[in-house]
Amino acid sequence: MDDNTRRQTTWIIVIALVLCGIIYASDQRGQVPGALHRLATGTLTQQVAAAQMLVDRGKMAESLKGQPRWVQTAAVKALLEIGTPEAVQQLTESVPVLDEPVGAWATASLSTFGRTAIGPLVECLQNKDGAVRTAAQAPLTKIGGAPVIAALQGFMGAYDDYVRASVVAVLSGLGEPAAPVAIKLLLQKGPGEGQTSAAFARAQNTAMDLLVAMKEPALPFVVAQLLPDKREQVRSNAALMLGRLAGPLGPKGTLVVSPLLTLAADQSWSVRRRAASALGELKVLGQTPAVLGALTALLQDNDEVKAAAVKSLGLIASPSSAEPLVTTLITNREGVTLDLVTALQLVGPPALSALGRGLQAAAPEARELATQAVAAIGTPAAPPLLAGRLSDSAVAVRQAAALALETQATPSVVGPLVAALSDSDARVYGSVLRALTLVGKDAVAPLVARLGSGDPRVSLVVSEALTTIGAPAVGPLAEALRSSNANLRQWAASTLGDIAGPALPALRPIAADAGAPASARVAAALALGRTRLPEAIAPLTTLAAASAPEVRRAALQGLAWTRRPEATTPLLAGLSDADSTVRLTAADLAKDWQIGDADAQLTKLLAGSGETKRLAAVALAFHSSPGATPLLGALFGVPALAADKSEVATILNSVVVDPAEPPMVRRLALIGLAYRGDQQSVDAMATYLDPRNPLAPVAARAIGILGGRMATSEGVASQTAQLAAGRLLETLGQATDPTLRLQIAASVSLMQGAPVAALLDRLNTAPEDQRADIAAILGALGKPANDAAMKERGLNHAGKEWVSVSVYLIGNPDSLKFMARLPKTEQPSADKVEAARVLYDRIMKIRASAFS
Amino acid sequence: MSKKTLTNLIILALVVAVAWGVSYYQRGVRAAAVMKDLAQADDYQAYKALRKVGGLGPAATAQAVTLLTAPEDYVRARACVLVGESGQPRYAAQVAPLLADKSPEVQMAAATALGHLAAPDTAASLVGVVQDTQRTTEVRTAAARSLALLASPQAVLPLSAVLQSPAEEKNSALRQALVVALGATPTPEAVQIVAAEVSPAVEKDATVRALAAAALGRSATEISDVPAITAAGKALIAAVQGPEEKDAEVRIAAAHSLGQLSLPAELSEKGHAALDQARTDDNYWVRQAAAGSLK
Repeated sequence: MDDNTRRQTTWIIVIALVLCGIIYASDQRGQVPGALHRLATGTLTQQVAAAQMLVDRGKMAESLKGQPRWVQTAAVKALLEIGTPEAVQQLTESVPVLDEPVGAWATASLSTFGRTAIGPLVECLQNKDGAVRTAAQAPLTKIGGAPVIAALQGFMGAYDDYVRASVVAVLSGLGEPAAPVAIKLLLQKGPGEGQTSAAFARAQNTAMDLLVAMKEPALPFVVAQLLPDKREQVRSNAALMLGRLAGPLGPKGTLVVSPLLTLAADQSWSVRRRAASALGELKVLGQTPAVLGALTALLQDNDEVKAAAVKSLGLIASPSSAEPLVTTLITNREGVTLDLVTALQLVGPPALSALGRGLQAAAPEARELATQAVAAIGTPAAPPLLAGRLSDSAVAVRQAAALALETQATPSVVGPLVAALSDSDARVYGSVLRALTLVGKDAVAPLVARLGSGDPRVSLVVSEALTTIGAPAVGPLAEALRSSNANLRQWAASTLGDIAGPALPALRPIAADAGAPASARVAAALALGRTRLPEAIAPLTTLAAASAPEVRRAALQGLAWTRRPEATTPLLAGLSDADSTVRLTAADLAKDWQIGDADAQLTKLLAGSGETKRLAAVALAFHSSPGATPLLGALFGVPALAADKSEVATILNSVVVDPAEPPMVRRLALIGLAYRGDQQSVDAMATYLDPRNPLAPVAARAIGILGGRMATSEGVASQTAQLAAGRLLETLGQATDPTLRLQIAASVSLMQGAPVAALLDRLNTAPEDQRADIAAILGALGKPANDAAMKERGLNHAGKEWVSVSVYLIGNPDSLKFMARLPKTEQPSADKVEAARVLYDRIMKIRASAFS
Repeated sequence: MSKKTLTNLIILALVVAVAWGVSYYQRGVRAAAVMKDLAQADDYQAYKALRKVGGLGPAATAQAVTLLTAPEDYVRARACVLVGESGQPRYAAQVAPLLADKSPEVQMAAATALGHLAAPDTAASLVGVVQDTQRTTEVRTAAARSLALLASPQAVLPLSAVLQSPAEEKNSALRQALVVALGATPTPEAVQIVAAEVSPAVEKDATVRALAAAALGRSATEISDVPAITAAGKALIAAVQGPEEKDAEVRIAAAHSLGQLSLPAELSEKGHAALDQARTDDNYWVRQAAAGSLK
């Protein structure tokens, strides 16, 4: 054969193989739809052939999903015709996808195959689909008999719990014939051949489940074959099963009483414990003298048995059990504390009288448990009993009682609750607070009476309670505003403010009542402000025009608390008040008020005269600081000097040098000048740098900030900074008071590069005991001092060493490099560094603080 | 063809033959092992063994035949299943005697197997089983199902007699199997009997009526007897249209069957009208079946 022919032959073979594959795949793909079509329209023979094909491929269930009803019916019919075990299995597996009533017909037909169907149905019991397992159960039960029991016996120890559950469902349906299998397993001493311990344990559990599921037919087997057994495990299992049988048996549950009473007297404590637990499953049926007597007797047994007996007495819930349970609580509660509480709770209200004894027990723990039990019972009779425990000597008892009253408090216990507000334990008075809140309106009067008690903690708790009660508390609180007790007025105002909206109708009349005591109107003003509601502005504005200055001051404070733009005008109007104390109050508030058009209004006031103008200037000066507060201004630096604000500076300069101005105003002016000052301000402020002047630290700080700002400017401003630095250093040299020296040192350290040259010069010339101060200031100045210090080489040896200390304290990358390059002989001594560092730390601390 | 090619072909054939022989032998050995499992009492374990036999072919069937005389009834029954699954009519002679086995379980398996073996001469025996009221319902039902697979015209009259027997009125499973068997037999008599079974006045069991209606769709198309076809058409139209048919399953089957049936001219219009009406039926599948049939 030549190459050409061979090549062609090869290609023909390859193409033929590919075509065969395509045809085969196409045929396979079309087989299922073809089979379904034949099921829908074919003869019985065709339908059977189609179904057989699907069975052979294991695709019956999958194929029937979503098929029309006539296809499903035909498929079931065909599978019944086939009748082989595989067909039975696939018919069972198809049940979940079949519509009703076709599914029900298929399920009912499965049992017609008799024993042939057992194998496939057992296989289906292991299916992961619960619907398939369910479909297999009924036919297996119907087929029944020894073959089904034999086939399922091996699955009692199956790993999957759903398989075991299915086995129980089928076998329990067979009744008595299946019982011996379970009994045999329970009497078996250990795992069978090839059986693991775990599988054996599962099998025994399944056996117990089976007997319980059988209900009454299982009883004779359990009683006759398990109870007399010598092994305690067997008897214990019997007790367990009898207990589980009690409930499902319903009224016939009493059938288990006699055997359980026998087991309750067993020599083994584990059997007695199980029997005790089982008796509890009788529930109400257990309310017989025999059962209760047996369980009460077991209360004297060991802790395990006792716990089971307590639980069971609770489940049975007989009123006659209350006394023995409470006695146990008082005398023998070890190991069963919580069980006792639960049991007494289940007994319910009939246990309350017996619990009275527990509440008076000598042991705090017993009283606590009794309190918990009373709380758990939770009937209307409980709150008085609980309230009685609020004065218990043991905190745990008080806590338990208070906690219960959080949800159970009634008006009848308000008295003890209010008294308990003084409790030293936070959990107690916290719970009492919530309890009083629960009582609501009825608690208001006694709460208001305690509001002005004088104990801030009690007042705070009462205030919180009244705030939570809200509207019902408004009337009595508003009345309290007229009280002569200042403490009460203050707390009432605060509380009304927190109540806010509902309090407004009560506050407005007091605010508008010119004949009301000034103290009441003051309190009303503060309350209105605390509400922070826009509706409070109008009455507060009215109050700001009241005749009494203290009322006007309170109104201004109230307006400030609202933090609303509408309050700006009445608040700033206070700067023009006839009374100086009102003006000062207004100024103090205005300096922190930048809401609305405050700055515009203040600027207008600068055109006026007298103190109003000066106070407006002070306020405007404060508004220049970046954070609108001196502290934030000092922390975050100062804004550049605004040339068009020189008017403010001029006014403040005049305030500062006017000894007639109140010290407070001058202090504010000094602080204001730190932000708005000019060249003249330095001289004005320097007059304060007398150690005897109490405003000296403020003035020093202000000069420092102002100098620092000017140091970054050019020309006259820069020279002024030098001048300011000189003044401060001069004062530093003269001051002997260490505090003032530190204040001044901190102020100098704010002045950027202005004092650097002078400081380096002083370092060279000052006495040794002052050099540490100077080195610390240079260190605090930071970078502005760094370059100059490093360049300074003309000092004597001692000065040079202190320069090194300064550079060391600066501690930025440049200074650290500088220090690293210094020879060892020129490194500063550790004691000098330490001395300067102590001062440096104090300077930095002062700089971080607010104006003193 | 050269000598060399011929030699190669012979060698190839020999290799194939040896491989087949070894495979056959091994299957025989495996079948023998599985047969032991098949003989155990536990039905689930036996079922697992049964599934293994399926792939072992004739060797297994041959061994299963030997078990037909096993002392244990469950072994004989399983042997019947295996032999039946072979589908070889030649084994019918060995299975048929087991219809008289003392065990109903074996009788049922034998009856089922005979249906699969498809030996027409066993129909009479199966009819006898169906008629024998002394046997269990399961056995009789299995025999009726097998008769459906045989579709023997000789069985029509005896089966219809059993179907119409008042004694079997409540024997639903058997009646279902009988209707299916009659429906699978394409004779005018069978069609007439099955058509009568569609009526609720005749047949109380809705499942039986539904199976009868479903069967008519095919069986009536395979005969040419006009009266029988007319009876079938009327029965189906009545089931679809008649107010007396309350069961939706019957209406579904009837509507679907009407679409398969070629109705005589005088019934055609009524058939269409019935299907048209069924398009508004309460039941979704009735409407679907009617719509499909109208197409």
